[in-house]
Amino acid sequence: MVATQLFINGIIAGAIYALMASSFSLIYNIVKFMDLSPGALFVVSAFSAYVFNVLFGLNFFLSLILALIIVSVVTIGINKFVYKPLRNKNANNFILLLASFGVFLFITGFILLIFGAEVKTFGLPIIKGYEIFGAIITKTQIILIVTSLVLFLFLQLFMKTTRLGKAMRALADDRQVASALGIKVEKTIAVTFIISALLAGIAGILVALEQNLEHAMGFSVVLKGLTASIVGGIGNVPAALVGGFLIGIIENIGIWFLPSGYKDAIAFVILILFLLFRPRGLFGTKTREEVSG
Amino acid sequence: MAKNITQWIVGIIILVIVIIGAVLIFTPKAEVTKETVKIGAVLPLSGGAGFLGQSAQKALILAKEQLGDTKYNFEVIFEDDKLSPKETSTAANKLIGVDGVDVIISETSGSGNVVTPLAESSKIIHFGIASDINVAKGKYNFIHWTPPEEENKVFIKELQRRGIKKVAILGVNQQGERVVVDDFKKRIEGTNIEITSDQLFNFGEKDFKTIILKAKQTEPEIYLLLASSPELEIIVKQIKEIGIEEPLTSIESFEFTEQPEIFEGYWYINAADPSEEYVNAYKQKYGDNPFLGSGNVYDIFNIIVTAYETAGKDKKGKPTMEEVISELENMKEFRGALGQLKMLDEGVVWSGAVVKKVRDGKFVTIS
Repeated sequence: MVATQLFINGIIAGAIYALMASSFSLIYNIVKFMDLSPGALFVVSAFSAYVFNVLFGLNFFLSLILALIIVSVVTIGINKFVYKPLRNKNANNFILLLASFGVFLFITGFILLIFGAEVKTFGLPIIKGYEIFGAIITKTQIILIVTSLVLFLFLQLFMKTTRLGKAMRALADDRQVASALGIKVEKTIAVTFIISALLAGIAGILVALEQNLEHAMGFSVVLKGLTASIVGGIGNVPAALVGGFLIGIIENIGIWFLPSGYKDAIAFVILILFLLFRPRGLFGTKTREEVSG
Repeated sequence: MAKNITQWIVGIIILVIVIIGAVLIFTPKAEVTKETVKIGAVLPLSGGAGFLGQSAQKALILAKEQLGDTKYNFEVIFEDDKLSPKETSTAANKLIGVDGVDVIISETSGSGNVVTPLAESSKIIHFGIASDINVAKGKYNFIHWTPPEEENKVFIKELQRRGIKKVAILGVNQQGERVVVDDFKKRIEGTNIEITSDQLFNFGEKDFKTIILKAKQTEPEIYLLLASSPELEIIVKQIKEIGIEEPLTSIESFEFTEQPEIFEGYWYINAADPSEEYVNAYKQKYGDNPFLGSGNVYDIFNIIVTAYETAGKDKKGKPTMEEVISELENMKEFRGALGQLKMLDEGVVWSGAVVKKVRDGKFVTIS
């Protein structure tokens, strides 16, 4: 029973990390820089859904859709007014990373200004979860895990079967060649940002349902999501998913044996070990430079 | 011509003298300006524990308004530390360095431990609402809170009365909470009460499922929660979702939330209750009930006023800090919002502990 419960606890935490890691990895894969803004969009989405559902009394699914429209608009704005001008000036990855950090701080600060630092809740009734193989899991947690897996499958299908998905993959391989083949680079990048924002946005709403909302809720998921994407293999979306679940499970098994205060430390020890001994992550492939050099 | 000029000059001089005389006669004597005692209050005015800080802020405003004729002006400057030690440091340094306060009030042990060394080095009085005795370390630092020893004595007595022997602790890693746990561990030695599990977690933690599972495995008869909002509400949600039916209890923590209904029916230990007189005055002014610590802040303000007024009674200006501290040390008893308070030698203003219960979403004292 304990082992099953620990595994399920790990899967629940992992589902959140996996969604965020996929969001980070997708942008890294196509736009080639580590963008932290999904952490802020995670918060924007949660608060938008809260406003529509709790404050305006709209239906939950309508609130969810409206929240996702808002994060899409915000991410288009971030790309257009921050990243695109920097890309046009040939800013390197470090500058883009710093800019994304600035965006993250600005947006979370803005949320703090509007909503204050008080914890908000969707006010769902607290009920005992379902018993599965001796372990307990709630409806929200099941939705969280299923959503994470469904979105992953959908993303894979989208990337492999649609024209836009293929364009994204082509862009990931070689931007110049993709451009020469007639792929609209900026449009494809904008779509990438939107998909990444939707992944983060859905994660934000699900976490808000599971753990309440506050302006700083994005910090921890940024750290864990980045760790998961590096452990899985940076820029590789399926690997990010595996990385997320792996971190979630190891963390939860780890604190069964160690004091729970070490939970974050466990994730970062894994990260350091990977950076030292397998910097490409579990499923990362060698870069062209590494192969030739 | 010369005569005319002389008459004019004499006339003007007389007019000037009359005007000056009139001004001197009819102008009220300028009041002697009162000296100001500045009190800085570092409180969690926003964030999860914002309601506690706001209640303390209201208490200070109420205490100031109720002040009668005093020799000194008492000005209160508020700073928000969001219950974060980093913010406490910034706020306290601003109050000391920029505002030049004479006294600082802090809330919680975490914040108090940050202010204590700053107050000691700046030689200003600091009153903490804190469980940790270290907050009262040094000449300039004082505490006004029910000591953990007192709360644990009442807690153990209540556990024994109810026949509860196995306790699991789920608590945040914070000085104030650890002081309570360490004292509890010491006091249950030689009794039939045992701690089956002591799970610590960090501020900001949101996933408690595994530590709840660890505690559950030890089959406790009661869960002792030592946390504050937002962790408190999340941990209770996850305890209930996992299907734990054993009762929950706390030492103070239940009052660290704005959602008391989640603890409906559970008993807990709390610091001394404020008097009916204080609660009524507060309710009359603000229309709601004071939260935990509000009465303590109210008392601290009045203790400071009393010390300053007594120390400066026969002085022209403000008394020195040493004179005020001497007054505080000599004050053996004080009648305040929390009843008859004892002033202990270690800089602790002592008050008793009570057993309370959450009934119909309200905190009710049962003994």
